[in-house]
Amino acid sequence: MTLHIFANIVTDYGTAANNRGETEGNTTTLQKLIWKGAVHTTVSAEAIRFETRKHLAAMEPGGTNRTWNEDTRTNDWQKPGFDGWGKKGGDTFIDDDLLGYMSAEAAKEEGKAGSAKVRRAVLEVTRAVSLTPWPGDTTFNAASPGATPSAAKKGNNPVPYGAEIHATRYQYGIAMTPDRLRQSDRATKALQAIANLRTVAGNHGRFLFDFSPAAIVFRVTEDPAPRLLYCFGTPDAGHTLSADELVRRVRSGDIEASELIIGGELATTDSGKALAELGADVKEGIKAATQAVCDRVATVSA
Amino acid sequence: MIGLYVTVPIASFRRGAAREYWETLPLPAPSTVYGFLLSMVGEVDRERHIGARCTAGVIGHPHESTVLRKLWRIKDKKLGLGNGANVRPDYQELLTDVRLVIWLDSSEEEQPAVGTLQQRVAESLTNDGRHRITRFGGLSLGESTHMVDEVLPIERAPELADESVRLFLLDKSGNFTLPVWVDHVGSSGTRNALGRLMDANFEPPNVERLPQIKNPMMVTNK
Repeated sequence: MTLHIFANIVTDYGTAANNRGETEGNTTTLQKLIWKGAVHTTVSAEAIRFETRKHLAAMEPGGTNRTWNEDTRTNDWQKPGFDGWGKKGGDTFIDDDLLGYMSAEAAKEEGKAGSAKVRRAVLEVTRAVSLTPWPGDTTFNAASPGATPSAAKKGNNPVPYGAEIHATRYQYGIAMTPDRLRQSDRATKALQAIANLRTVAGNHGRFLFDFSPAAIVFRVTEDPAPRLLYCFGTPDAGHTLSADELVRRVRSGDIEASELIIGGELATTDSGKALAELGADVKEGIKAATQAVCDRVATVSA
Repeated sequence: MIGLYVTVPIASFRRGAAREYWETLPLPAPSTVYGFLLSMVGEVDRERHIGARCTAGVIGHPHESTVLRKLWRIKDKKLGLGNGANVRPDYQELLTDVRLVIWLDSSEEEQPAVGTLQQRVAESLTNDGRHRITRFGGLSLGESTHMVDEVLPIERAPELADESVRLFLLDKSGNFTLPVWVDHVGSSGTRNALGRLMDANFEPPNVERLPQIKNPMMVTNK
């Protein structure tokens, strides 16, 4: 048997301006996709993983293998060759263990195969999607002459610019098979990092969206399929949460209620109450739910 | 033959030759489907179920979007991973609300000693069978970010009768090729199947029209 931890997470309500360097004219755009027939904004899994790595670096005495250097705008590496993975009991870093790595080298001779050091991420993260459609909100602003090195080098006119923004929540999922970790206690650290995730997807460091969970649904199971991804909905434009599809799946028997641990805002909603009645472990706090999952995993592993 | 209903909230079935612009195929190739099935049953030897036949069909019409992604590559080894020229933004096509039907037939498999892939997949869909499986990782059809959400036996799929399916089936006069075996180092060992996307229903297709998983290098060695 193998135990998997799946989770679906939804953030608090906030205003996002998650620009990734793409502009249309002088308007910084949001990443968007069509979701259930309407335009929604989205944040990549890489952005969430980036912040998770920062959190892991702060939690570990030895830090992480890879660290983003804000001054040089480059990645600093402690062991770029991923030493330690080749031998049993070798020293390894928590970020390589949880988030994986790949270092490929081309063949040195014609006709010979190249080599690659690859470790698949044990903590897998999905793309985040806004809970509500994007209504097209854009702010228009003006930078005063000389306000930035790139704007208005000449003349006295202010420079107008725009930024697409979205007042919403984001939801995304994770998956983890704790048995695959080199050090088993890193599963708990990963869950703690996700439960305390902070600023993800910044617009040049000026505007950052808090990705800490407002509600979280964990499933600890032998089932390889999560069956809870993007399960959150909202009856009132993002102010409150629902999880009707999750309730349906539990009622249909596709998800055992006993496998679910739920925390946060969902607890006091109709969906949360229905799931509690069906037998899920529903808690009001994110920390309490995360701890319950850690305890459950520790009990099974023992 | 066994049929599965599979949902993937966000997916990208990357074309093998896509580089700067990561276009998506309308549905996963047989080689991707085979990898997904191996992952489901915890099989890490990809040659274990050579000879299996499998294909995917896409239900309805998933929405298509394009996003900008930061992608790593190696242009300058001295700069370090993810630095300078070793990272660049590229566009990627995404499909959302992807629902698939997957057909698998194991009647021509060469190594039934551990049980056929069809038997193992069928077992993994039961609570008892699941308990006996050792496996790892989220299920995906391509990138691990694009996680599969639900897998059900086709008989238990909700309300499919009125839906349209486009299924990839072998056809000698077809207009579409998809890989049944991918050589990740170079491409000389990659093998494609010629077929076309056919309108279908949820009845099992003719076995002979399912693409067969074959490793050309193994055939040569014999």
